[in-house]
Amino acid sequence: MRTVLLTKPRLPAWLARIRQRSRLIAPVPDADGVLDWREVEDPAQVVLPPGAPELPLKKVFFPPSETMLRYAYRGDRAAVTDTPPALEPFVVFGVRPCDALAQRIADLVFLGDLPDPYYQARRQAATIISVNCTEALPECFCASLNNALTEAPGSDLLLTPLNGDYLVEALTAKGEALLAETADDPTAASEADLARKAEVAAQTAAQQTRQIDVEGLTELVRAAYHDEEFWKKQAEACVGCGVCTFLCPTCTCFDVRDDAVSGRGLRFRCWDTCQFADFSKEASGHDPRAQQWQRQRNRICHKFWYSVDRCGVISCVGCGRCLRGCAGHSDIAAAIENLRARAREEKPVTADE
Amino acid sequence: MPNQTDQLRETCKRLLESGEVKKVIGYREGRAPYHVSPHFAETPEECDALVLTPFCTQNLVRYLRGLKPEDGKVAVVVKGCDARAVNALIAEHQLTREQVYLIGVPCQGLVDVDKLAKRVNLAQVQEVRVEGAQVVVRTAEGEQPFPAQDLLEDCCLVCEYPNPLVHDQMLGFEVAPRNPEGVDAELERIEAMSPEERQEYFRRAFSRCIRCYACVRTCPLCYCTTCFAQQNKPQWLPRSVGTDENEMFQLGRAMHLAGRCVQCGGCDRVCPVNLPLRLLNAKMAREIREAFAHVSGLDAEKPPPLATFDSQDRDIAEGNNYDR
Repeated sequence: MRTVLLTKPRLPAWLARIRQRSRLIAPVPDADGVLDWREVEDPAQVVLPPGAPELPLKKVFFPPSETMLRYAYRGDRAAVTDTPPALEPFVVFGVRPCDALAQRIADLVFLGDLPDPYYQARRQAATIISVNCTEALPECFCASLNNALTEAPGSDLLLTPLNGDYLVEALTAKGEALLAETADDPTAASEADLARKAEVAAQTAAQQTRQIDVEGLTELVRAAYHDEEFWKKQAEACVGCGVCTFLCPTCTCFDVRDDAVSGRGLRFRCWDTCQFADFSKEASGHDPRAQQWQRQRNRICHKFWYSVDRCGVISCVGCGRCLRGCAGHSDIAAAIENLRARAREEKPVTADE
Repeated sequence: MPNQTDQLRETCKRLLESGEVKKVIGYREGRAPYHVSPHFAETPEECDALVLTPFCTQNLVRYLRGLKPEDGKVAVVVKGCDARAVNALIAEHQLTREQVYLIGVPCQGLVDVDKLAKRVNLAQVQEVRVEGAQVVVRTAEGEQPFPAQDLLEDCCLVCEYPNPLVHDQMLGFEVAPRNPEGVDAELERIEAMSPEERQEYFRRAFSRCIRCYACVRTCPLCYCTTCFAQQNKPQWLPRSVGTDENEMFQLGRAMHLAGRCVQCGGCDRVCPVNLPLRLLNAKMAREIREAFAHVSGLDAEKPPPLATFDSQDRDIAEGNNYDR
């Protein structure tokens, strides 16, 4: 795989060449200055804030709402039109390594035994260009959980800022092809450049003040499952909105519904969350997770236990969005510390320290 | 003289020790000074974590939802806007005055973390104080003053009622309102737009909504068991996320809050996609104030105008008939 240097002033021209070749999606502000994953018209529009942008990359592959099929009844027979997404290749630029890894984790859900065609079509069409972090937000804790900062799994290309240059690493054949087709006479990178990249990653990791100690974590969560008082305390400030899960790059739950009038309609899916009151409510009226503390417990158990059992991975990448977005500033890293404190048979701590 | 935080902790300990209240709802600091969470203390020891800082943003009155008379009395820390929420809830029979012990905190305004992040490196911030017209930020390098105008939350810059109008005990002295005349430049800007411009502005915002319902769930006055936007049977609104559906949801919510919203800014603050919810609700509040001379939360005896029928209403008394 190729590893090259691109001087920083040449980045816009490179993005412009990519845009000539295919659609380019990146964090772009709207007229109110709010960032989202939007189509890039001009590379100058792209904004890369420190840390992961507020809205997760999953939105590109798994939109908050999408039509799956349309139908129209004629008599007792329905004509069904499938609406799979368009398949033209596109490039996503400005992805943070935590988000790229999170997409890999989401793949385990969407592309398992029964691949989801809507998601799959977008994933196959996309080439992901990640840009490494040089500045951690106080809410970031990826370094304690995974190798996103150093290996950037899930990225096709990884850019790491090194003073005046970007070190550009092709990590997949897709990335290699994009680089070959669009790079304009790049300089080959040296061993020294790779060493500088390792330094940048180490410096970013060192800025992170939150950590999650993963040692024996699944067992720790499992052991606390029945401790109702513990979970009630953890969820006391939870208001029951969908912020933590909607902003989570690995949360993949959705609802499927119909919107129909007079035998004509469409079937769509939209984001749903285990935090909403009707999420686990059954047709009988029974709700196995009727209380908000049970829903918060489910979230933690899913990230650190159910995901590990089912997919073999912890489904938290340390982006910190759940803490940044939470009305009550509920801190998932603190929740894990509280679990450890509980396991040491200490009183569960209420403060984050 | 003991500082406000010490005074607060002492008060809460006394309330719990004497058995006057069963629980105290206040604030505690997380790992960073600007990560302040609601804190629920049921023992005197737990009161040691209580803090009062300009980052105590949450309207804690929201956490009184579902409080039953048999749960006993609960002490709540209330700023000016929060105390108004208590009045509004009492006026709507969601709470009785006897259920709560209100620890009033005159409020100089809350610091907007996004505004702060534009001016200082958040990771370096050790303490922030609001001192009248300025906000003092302390980092390892020392203290730096900023004009309050630059750092306070929008809802605080236009606040007319910073002192709790209802309380059992007040911590500290009353403060002067920042905006006694009720001037709201942002609202003027919206009102000055043509209807088309205004629609474009709000529809662009609504197009961003991801329907996480953080606005609803944070709001002390949104106490419906199930929000109309999330109701299944009947379904008033599709769950699909799109500008039209989002607009119906947000305008529906604004109508439900007209004359009830206390302008605490909770919805605006928690929105992950920066919808101008404060402005929307401020506009509704102004309409209600002009039409009915009603300001939510000033009087626990006065129900919201849109929830009442009065044959002496100005419209009816003056014979106005919109069908005409």
